[in-house]
Amino acid sequence: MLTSCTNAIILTVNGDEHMLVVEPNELLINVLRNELGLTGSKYGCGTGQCGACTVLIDGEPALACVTLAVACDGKEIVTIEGIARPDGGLHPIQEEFLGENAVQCGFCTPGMILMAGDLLKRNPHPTEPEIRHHIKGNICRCTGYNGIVRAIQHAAARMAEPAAADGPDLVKEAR
Amino acid sequence: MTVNTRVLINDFTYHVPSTLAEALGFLDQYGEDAAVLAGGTDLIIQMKLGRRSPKFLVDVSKLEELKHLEAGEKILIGAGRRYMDVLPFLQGLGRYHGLAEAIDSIGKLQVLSVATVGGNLGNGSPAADTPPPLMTYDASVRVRSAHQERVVPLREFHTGPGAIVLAPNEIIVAVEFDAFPDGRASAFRKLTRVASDISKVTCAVAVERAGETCTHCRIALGAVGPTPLRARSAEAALEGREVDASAVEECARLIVEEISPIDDIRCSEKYRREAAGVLFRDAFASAWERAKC
Amino acid sequence: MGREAREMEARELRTVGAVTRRKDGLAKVTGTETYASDMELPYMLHARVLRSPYPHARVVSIDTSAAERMGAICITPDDVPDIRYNERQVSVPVKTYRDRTVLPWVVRQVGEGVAAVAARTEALAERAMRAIKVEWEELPAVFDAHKAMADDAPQIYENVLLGDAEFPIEHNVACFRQVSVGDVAVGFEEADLIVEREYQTGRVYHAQMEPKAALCRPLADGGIELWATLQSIHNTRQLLGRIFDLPLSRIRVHRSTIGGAFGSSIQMNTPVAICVALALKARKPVKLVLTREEDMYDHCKYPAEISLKYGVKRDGTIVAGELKTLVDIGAHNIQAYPLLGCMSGWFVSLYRMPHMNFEGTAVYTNKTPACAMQGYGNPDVSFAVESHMDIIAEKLDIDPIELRIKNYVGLGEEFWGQGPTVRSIIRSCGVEEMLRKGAPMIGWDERGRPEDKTGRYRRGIGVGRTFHTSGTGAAMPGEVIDYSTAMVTVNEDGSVDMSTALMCHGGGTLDACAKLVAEEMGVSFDLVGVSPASTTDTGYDVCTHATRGVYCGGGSAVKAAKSAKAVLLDFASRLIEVNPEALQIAPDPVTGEGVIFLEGAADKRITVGEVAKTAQLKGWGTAIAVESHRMVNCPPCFVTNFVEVEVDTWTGEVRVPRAVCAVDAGTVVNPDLAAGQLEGGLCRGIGQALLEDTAYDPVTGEMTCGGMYIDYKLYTAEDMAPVDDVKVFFADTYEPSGPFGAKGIGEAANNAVAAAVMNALQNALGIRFQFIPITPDMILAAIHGWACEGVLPA
Ligand SMILES: Cc1cc2nc3c(=O)[nH]c(=O)nc-3n(C[C@H](O)[C@H](O)[C@H](O)COP(=O)(O)OP(=O)(O)OC[C@H]3O[C@@H](n4cnc5c(N)ncnc54)[C@H](O)[C@@H]3O)c2cc1C
Ligand code: FES
Ligand code: FES
Repeated sequence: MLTSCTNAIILTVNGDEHMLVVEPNELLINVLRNELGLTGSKYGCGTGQCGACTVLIDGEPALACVTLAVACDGKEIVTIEGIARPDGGLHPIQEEFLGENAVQCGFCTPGMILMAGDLLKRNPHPTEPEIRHHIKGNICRCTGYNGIVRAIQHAAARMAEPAAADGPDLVKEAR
Repeated sequence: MTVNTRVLINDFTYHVPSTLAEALGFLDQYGEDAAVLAGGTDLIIQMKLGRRSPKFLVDVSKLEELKHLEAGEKILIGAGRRYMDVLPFLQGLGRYHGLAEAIDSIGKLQVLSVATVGGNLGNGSPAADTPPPLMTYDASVRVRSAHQERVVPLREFHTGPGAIVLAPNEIIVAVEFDAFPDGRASAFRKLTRVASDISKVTCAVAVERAGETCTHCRIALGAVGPTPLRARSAEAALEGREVDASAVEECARLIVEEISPIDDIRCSEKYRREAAGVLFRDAFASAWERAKC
Repeated sequence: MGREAREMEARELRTVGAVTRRKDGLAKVTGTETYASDMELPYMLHARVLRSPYPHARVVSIDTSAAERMGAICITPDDVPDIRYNERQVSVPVKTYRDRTVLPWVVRQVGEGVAAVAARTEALAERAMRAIKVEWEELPAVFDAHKAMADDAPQIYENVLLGDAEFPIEHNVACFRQVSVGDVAVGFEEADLIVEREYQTGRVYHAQMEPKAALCRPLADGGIELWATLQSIHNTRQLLGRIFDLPLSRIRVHRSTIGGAFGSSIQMNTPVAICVALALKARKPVKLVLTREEDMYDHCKYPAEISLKYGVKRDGTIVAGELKTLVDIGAHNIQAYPLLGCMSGWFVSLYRMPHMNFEGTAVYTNKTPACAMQGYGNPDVSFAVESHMDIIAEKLDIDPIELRIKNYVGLGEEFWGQGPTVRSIIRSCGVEEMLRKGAPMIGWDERGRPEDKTGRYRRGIGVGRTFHTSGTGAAMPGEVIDYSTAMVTVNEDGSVDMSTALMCHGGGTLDACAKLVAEEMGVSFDLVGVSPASTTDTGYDVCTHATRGVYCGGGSAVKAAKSAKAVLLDFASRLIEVNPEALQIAPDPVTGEGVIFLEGAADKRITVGEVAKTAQLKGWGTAIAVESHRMVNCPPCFVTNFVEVEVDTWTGEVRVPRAVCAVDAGTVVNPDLAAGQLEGGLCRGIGQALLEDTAYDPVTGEMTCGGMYIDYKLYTAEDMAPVDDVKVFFADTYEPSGPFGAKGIGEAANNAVAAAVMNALQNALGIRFQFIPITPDMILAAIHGWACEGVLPA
């Protein structure tokens, strides 16, 4: 009956499969940061309020600070480290975050970029209110958000250009 | 300062059963020591805050039995369905605006993608967003234990702040309500401190109209009492009556008398009373307008 | 510099003022930037701190045996040096109040640490920490500054150290400051109208996104190496040297990327010393990262109660002003004395007053200690003064903008950049330009009168103007230390390294300095590298605070670049046989590489790289220079905010749908980053006006929000105005004393916002709010005439 009581899990993170032994009470954020060295996912509040720990789990945005690692067994996870192109080039969203001054201290940036990618996957032509709605779970204390909103607007425009080979889907682009 | 939101420190055994029967077996076995884990957006935080320390977690996210989404004579929403699935389902049906607006008001995509209606009910918060609209739909909660299934009307489900009628060995399977007859419409309004926040006050309304006469009226509010609650005297005052400004005002006044809000960190009791009336007027106006078409 | 010369220089600026990509951007958008909380060392231990559940208590005993049996290394007050220190080291020692130790026997706030553990994992450390048994003797506590001054109030301190001398504390008054000019009594006699009001600002939390962290590695020679959330590596080193009795040469503090600061790390934060003490005992690297809730119990903004009185002539000329303030500093005096001095300076420098009196009192209470937050008393003073200006304007029936223009302190007048001891003469000023240009942009003349506004949703427009200092430099030494050091090296391939202990909190300070160096050296921005920095490889820099990064830090960088350039040109002159005075450097338009040339002589050209390489091969040496530099001014960077509010008079909710933000920063070094500063400052300012505060339970002494973001709310993207409805512009000015005409921006960005919001609320509702934050509760109370704390009866 205790088939599910094991602590060995398999996580596919940014395309790489990892076999890990974890305690049931370990949080995904700490496994990513401490076991896999993926420190791009940040702890900002630990209570689901700030979005700094955002990752994609099976393609959907989720908060790694309130997610048990064991509950992710067999799932595919994408972190900010998995967003850049295989050749190391930046994703257009990353480019625009740089170009539009969406980054100050940068602590909210990984979560913001992942949410921007999630939005553009669902809705390639978002309006400004739609952009603001989509990132409202992510706090930025530095920028006042305008740079971030502009970056997402520009990324959307750029990704809509026919010449752009950039698929909007962040997940597919993981290695 | 015995809180640490960076780690979970209490030990527990984690089970992820693949059938409802298996899950119910665990609950039967562990009783009070077990907790059901769905999206975890309430439970994990409560564990971090030291408010709960279950020895066993039974993860229900893999249970197909909790994932029904059915639209027939009854609308049935599986307790284990993520908001992210429920929202488009409701939007597709095009009529259950109140519940859709309540879910949409949670807004935060990272929560919608994992959190469930079952968790919202199971958490028992008087400020939760889905109970008020569901109450205006006269919804019922389908509950199972290893030994029986029962259907609890939602209006009897909450018993106090954080308290519900569920026994430790029971799982919420689904919430269900009768499909709307033609002409019924609903709406939901919520006040928060910032765009992504738990409510200060919520109000849901469902109505039917015949011309300017209100033929069916349900009003429910959140965060204005120990449980989500129905404003029955206000409903009675509107039902069967011609709707004009004075009827709505009268109704708002009755609501303000019927609720029993408190002061807390989000706002004051006085504010809640005033705002409840305003939210009612806004929600009613929206539902009434929708019922026209 | 005359206008022509200035225009010529502006025309010739290549890099300064250009939009560039921030150098740390790539790491930040790819998640690979390493913040202090991301650092890791082999075999490091994780630390946790046992914190007081009581607001005021004596530790009777601590039993760590159970924790030690779990394998944890433990420290208690017995294990730390018995040294009283002040975590902030910006003032000269005789003006520094020292009231804390690494771990105290008496706790004075909930959340104060008394013991700490280090163990292999964080969870283990947490468990070990919980296994420590502490016997407490509870002491009476006080949470209100007025009550704390009463005769029968519990005494939070008997004495503290002022410098090295004992300083008795009476009635919990941490310090008092009075500053006056002229004779206010005479001034008020001369006035036709006297307006007196009370104001109050909130106990806001900095909410920098990265909770503070420290990682300390003990070294074989007894020294230490440290990575931590800091705004000053050198002050941290000096303080650690003093506390742990280590020579500074054995302490190496690294600059680490910081996830936001807003002033919260000007001081060496409490986790740093605890982490060092643990590492020294454990003989292993120890890392301590605060939880959000610990961080929120660690610091907050100085709140202020302000009683303000102005006397004016019928034509609006101010003749006298008096500002009395009471500041509830919480459990420790981190920098209240300089704060009060600064507040007097902000007051003096806003509007001309022949007669002025300032009195400031800082009082201890059993709450989270307050420290500088963006603006350092300026948002508070400006909120009061700028509200007052509108009240006076209304009483005299003068346009609020005209009243401001009539009285503001501007060109040629004296500016107090950091209290009475740091003064300079204003030599660039865009105040009038910003007010005149901003007004039509917001629709000032169409803002209407509150009595004509009806309906559920009402809009109003308000203005607030102020400034911040650019650093704390002055011709004479004052109470605060201010200078920077920079090193510039020309590398053998023509690229340039800039090394400085300055910090970037996200605003682009280091990019700005690199730009200034690029400009001075005549190479492209891309070729200037910002070196990693630690205390062992940089000279002293006081701290990146007081909006001094670009002006003061940049000043030292330019000076070092000039000196390195002189060496370089000397080498070049030997190679191409041209007098170095006649040589210029400009970047090659294609490669960006610096080219040294004699104007008009095509054969007299050589690249910077060729010169540097040849100098190396010939053994002439490196073109390198180190300069320590103090600015002898602290020019004000002026700022003006216009905002529009929309009030839902039924629910009391307030939005800011439109705003105009203008700054006079002299030459704008990073235009897009500067705009970002203004947008961020606007958001935080609106938060201070309408949302943020921390309250305490009067029984338990805990924060009612518990230190969590669940109940300490911050605005989200959805709460803020649309991109196109926030207009930003820069005044066209040039600061003669600044590097390439630049001044600061940072703190100025949020200083006037709360005032503008309150003035706009008055314009919308006809109600004057004097306490911030104003919540929807308070708005409804004011509209309906309910009794409500923080709302004055109409
Ligand atoms: C950032 C953030 C924002 C939020 N915003 C809102 C908001 O705006 N409005 C709102 O209402 N809520 C909000 N919440 C709270 C929470 O997301 C909701 O209550 C959500 O519906 C909980 O669902 P869950 O699946 O995550 O529940 P869990 O946390 O997994 O469970 C919650 C409780 O229900 C019990 N439970 C779960 N499923 C079942 C079941 N099938 N049978 C029996 N018991 C069960 C659990 O044992 C637990 O006690 C927010 C939470 C976060 C972190
Ligand atoms: S750390 Fe996860 S939401 Fe803040
Ligand atoms: S850039 Fe600092 S929090 Fe967003």
